Amino acid sequence: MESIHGDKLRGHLETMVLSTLEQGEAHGLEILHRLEEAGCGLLKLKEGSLYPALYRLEAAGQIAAVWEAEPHGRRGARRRIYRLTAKGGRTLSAGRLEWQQFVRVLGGILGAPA
Amino acid sequence: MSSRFTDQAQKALDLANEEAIGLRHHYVGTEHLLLALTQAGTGTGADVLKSLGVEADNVRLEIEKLISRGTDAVTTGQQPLTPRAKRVIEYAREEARIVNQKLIDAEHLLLGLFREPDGVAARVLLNLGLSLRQVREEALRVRLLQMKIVERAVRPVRATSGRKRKMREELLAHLTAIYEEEQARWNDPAKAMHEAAARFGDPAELAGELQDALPFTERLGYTTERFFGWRAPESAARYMMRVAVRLFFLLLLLFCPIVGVVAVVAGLDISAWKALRPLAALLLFLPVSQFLLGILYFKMRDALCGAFGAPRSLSKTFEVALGMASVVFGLALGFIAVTAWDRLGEAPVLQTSCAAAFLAPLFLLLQARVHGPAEISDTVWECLDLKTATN
Repeated sequence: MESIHGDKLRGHLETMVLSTLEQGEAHGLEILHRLEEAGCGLLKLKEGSLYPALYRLEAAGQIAAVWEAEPHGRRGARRRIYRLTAKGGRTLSAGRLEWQQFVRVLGGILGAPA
Repeated sequence: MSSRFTDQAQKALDLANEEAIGLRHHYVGTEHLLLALTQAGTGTGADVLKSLGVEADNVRLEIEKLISRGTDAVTTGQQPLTPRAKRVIEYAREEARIVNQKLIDAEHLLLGLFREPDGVAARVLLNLGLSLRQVREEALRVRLLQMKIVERAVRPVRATSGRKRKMREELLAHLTAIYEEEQARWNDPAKAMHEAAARFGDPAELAGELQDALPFTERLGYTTERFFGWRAPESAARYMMRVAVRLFFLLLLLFCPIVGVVAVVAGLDISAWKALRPLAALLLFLPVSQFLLGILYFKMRDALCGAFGAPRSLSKTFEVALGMASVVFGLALGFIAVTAWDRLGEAPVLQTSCAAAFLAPLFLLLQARVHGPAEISDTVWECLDLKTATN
């Protein structure tokens, strides 16, 4: 099965990020791991591009971030932990409905089962 | 300033102490740090040592060749650090600060160790056929590569320095983490770096994406900061000169209407023009004080925090503070002399000048203490030469 490339995903990246954060708060790398797990490694995303998406979501109030209080494990680098806000939850639900409708409509037109 | 260490760095320090006791030495020197770090270190520094064949056994051997074992049994407990070992920890603190980390990691201890050419550790490495410079360059190379990738993404972005600092920290943490994932998989620093960079993506593209993600206020903040802010890689003197000139013209702009009003209202009345003397004095003295105090501020900051190769020096900080006090006192008196010569000897004038001479350096010291580390870190990042890294 061919891998899905970044360009097709970019429009949906923010909704996907909100979706992974529904499972619980996470830092950037963890979000990417969750995406990879859910997408069975077929998503070829440039990892750096996750951060502009996160910053945009943060500016829009969909997610909130704090620097972790204690540096994790052995290394001293701090990470920012992101979590879903109430507003983000609402946007996610709306995004899900939109996607389902998209699939239904397009599926009908293309003659492919949803 | 107290040093704080990550668990692993603390373990390394404890191990260094144990090794010292084991060799019956009454102190913990750079050689014991090296010995501990060959066993407890992680990250690129430790990988470098391993790949160059520097291991605990041969290091211990070399130490014993250079310094014989002690004869009397040493009591347990923390052995004192030698001055050089303390310097290594200072350097480590600087290395941690450059990447905006508050805790010193084992990796930073190694980088600090590689900066101390006079310790026994350096001689041990020499005896093992390695120059300190060689080891240091190797260890720094990967770190520099990582920093340059991040800086390529962040430098073009028009955002406030605070925002950029956060982006650098977050992106570097990510890049370092995926480098370590790749290093665990391939056990080859060059390949790991290559893979990590590929996963991370093109920094130039990322810069554009970051710019689009930021609100308009960031761009505004950038333009404001840039007007009076430091531009890499100019020197402190040039920076302060540029600000002084702009301050002068800004003041001129502000005072023009006042002069205009006086000219219209009072005409050629000498007394009215005399009343403008304080303004003229301000026009002269403010830029000059800003220039002089500015240059002294940078000297004080670097002496207080230890920066750009020079270790921390509290005596130098104090010297500069005294210099500042003299400058402020002199300028205050000068200002009074120009505006009200006859009042020069009065007690309140002298008292105020003394108070200012005392408070100004104190204020600047506080600034240096609070903002110094971040400023120095920003300087290092913004002076990175992005044209030379190959990947």
